[in-house]
Amino acid sequence: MWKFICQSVEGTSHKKTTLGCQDSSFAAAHGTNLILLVADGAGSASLAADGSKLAIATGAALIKSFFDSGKQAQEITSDILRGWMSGIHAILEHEAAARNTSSREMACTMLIAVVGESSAAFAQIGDGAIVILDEQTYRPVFWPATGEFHNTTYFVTEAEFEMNIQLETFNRPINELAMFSDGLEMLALNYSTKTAHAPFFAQLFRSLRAGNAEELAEPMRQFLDSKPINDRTDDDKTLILATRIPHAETTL
Amino acid sequence: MAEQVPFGTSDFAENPEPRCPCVLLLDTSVSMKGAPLDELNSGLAVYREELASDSLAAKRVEVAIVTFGPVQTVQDFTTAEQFNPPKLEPTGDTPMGAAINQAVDMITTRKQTYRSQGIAFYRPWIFLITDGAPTDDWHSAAARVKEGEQAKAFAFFCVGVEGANFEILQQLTVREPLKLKGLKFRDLFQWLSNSQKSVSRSTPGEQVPIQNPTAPDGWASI
Repeated sequence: MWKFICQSVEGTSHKKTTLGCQDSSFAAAHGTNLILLVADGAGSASLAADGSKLAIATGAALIKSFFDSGKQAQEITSDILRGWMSGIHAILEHEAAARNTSSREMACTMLIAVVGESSAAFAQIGDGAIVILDEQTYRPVFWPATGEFHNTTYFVTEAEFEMNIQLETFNRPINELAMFSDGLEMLALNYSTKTAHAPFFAQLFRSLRAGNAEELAEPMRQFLDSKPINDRTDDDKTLILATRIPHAETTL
Repeated sequence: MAEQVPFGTSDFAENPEPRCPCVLLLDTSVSMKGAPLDELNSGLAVYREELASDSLAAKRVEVAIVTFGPVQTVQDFTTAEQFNPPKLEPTGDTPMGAAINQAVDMITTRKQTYRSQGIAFYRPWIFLITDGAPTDDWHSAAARVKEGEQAKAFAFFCVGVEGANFEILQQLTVREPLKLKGLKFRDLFQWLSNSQKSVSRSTPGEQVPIQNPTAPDGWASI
């Protein structure tokens, strides 16, 4: 069983315009499986917020139907992960066409994590990161993909999206993980060593383990909109934290 | 039991600021003597003020200055908050080709330095200001500019002051060379610092808002 919190907060630069929050996120348990999704809409895309919402909804539906068909988390292969990315790409293209515009206007990054009892599957296009607790160390599954420059990245809507999918599957239990969009990258990751900043995660997960997920939602939201964070980034911030509840706690 | 505020404070990673490197390629040939150089120096002071007053740009924009001729690096890359423009004096001729090659080399080396230190960066700028024509062979420089623009390795802008040979400038650059209205260097550098301030805070996929310099009240004419 899983305990998790998921929050997306509009960035201070977006608050100055009518952009609104262009990050979308999703976290849900399906039986003992955990499904996490984050999509960050491209700054200039006119329908970025809609694009990221649709990407999330599509990903969630595809993954749910995978489990509803009776399959297990350990059956998720790289091909299946690629298939989900393709499905999201196709739906965004279709929706853009229906609105008489280019899918460029719905451009967004896409992060996927599906964690089972003894396996995990991850896929990512673009920046942001998935950080897991693996053998007692917090580490990013993939390094955020930005292309050459700090203000460029890859999107699931691009024609060449398949070339930019990062994939990884594990055959062991992953019991704690975080997922976030690029707004938090510089605070949570060490660029010179390409590692996760352990104290940042240790502190957050201590709070999560000690508390009740519903009661922690608002404090997490306030944390994301707090001065120490806004001093360092004016971008939208999405953070999902999830920890597996040890067996003893789930039995009566 | 002490009540710990959940997510109260946090230990954040300390990362170097992403950088926006800019090489100013400035013609200090004899013909720039007098009013043109005075105004150019004045423009550089505006540039410095504007960048230093913006908290993000001050740390992120890195300025280097190469004057010609002869080709001299009078300022190596330094962050805007530590940049103190040297006062430019008239020098010699106009080896523009060599100056451009040097700027491209400096950008290439700077990027290697960033990469080896895990420092993120924005697309570099090369900004050429001249009132004349090259007195050296510029064809290889033109080829490197074209190559660099195609590979999106840098953005190369060219501004011609009254008297510049636009026919050649057009062959040197991919982007249309701009003609400075009179000696509006202050306006030019205001525009440059505004543009770079926008880049300093831009996020992926965002179109960086850059004012049109050829707008009626702009500093350039087509």
